[in-house]
Amino acid sequence: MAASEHDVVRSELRWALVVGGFVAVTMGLTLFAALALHRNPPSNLERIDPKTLHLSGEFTEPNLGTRVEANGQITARIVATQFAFVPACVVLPEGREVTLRLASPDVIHGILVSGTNVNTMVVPGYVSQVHTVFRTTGDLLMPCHEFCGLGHSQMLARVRVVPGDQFRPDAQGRISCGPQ
Amino acid sequence: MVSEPVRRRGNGPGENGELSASELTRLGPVPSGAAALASIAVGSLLFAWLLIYLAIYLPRGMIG
Repeated sequence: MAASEHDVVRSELRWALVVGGFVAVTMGLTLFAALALHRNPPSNLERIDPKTLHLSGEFTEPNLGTRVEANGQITARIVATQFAFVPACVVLPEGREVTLRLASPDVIHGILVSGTNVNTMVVPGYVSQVHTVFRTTGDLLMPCHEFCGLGHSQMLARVRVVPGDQFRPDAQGRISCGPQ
Repeated sequence: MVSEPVRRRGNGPGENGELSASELTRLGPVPSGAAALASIAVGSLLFAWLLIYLAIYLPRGMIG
């Protein structure tokens, strides 16, 4: 039986409803994740001079690594440079909100932490910042995922997630992986 | 000008936009097949999206 124009219009409207439902479901779940579960793309517009970040400010060598701030906030500061992360290992606690702050003095890098949603670019001139809560303990790999030069494949760091009772910073609030 | 659809050459309708009865009969079942194919394709896409969302994205924890 041939379809009349009316049938075609009905079919197209039905199909439009299906597509509209698809978009509504995906948008709804995305909004639910963002508003109820606090899962958002990392966004932090914060400038830093890539030529001098190692000379003064928070990314000088003594400030790198994990630090528990006076207000209890746990922050890991890492410099991503060709072709290493400094430091190459950071210690963070399981089950507490932590902040990763990264900067690059040379070219664009990127990081992800295996098995988590942590994933961001590290662009020279900007501070990349990610908030997360680690739910598993162990050494998680953190490779550079943005091709940054011939040594890119060797650019790898570790995030050592320890149980909360084993996360014991020193008097200055510092904690590190120890000798590498 | 060809006035009789049955004698037309090519695949399109005649100048007056009409199709012959046999052409209409052949074209009739096509939309249901296309709808089934499109439904399977879109359904698979939605299923894959939900699978990644529920099995990978949510268990990986908060991010912001």
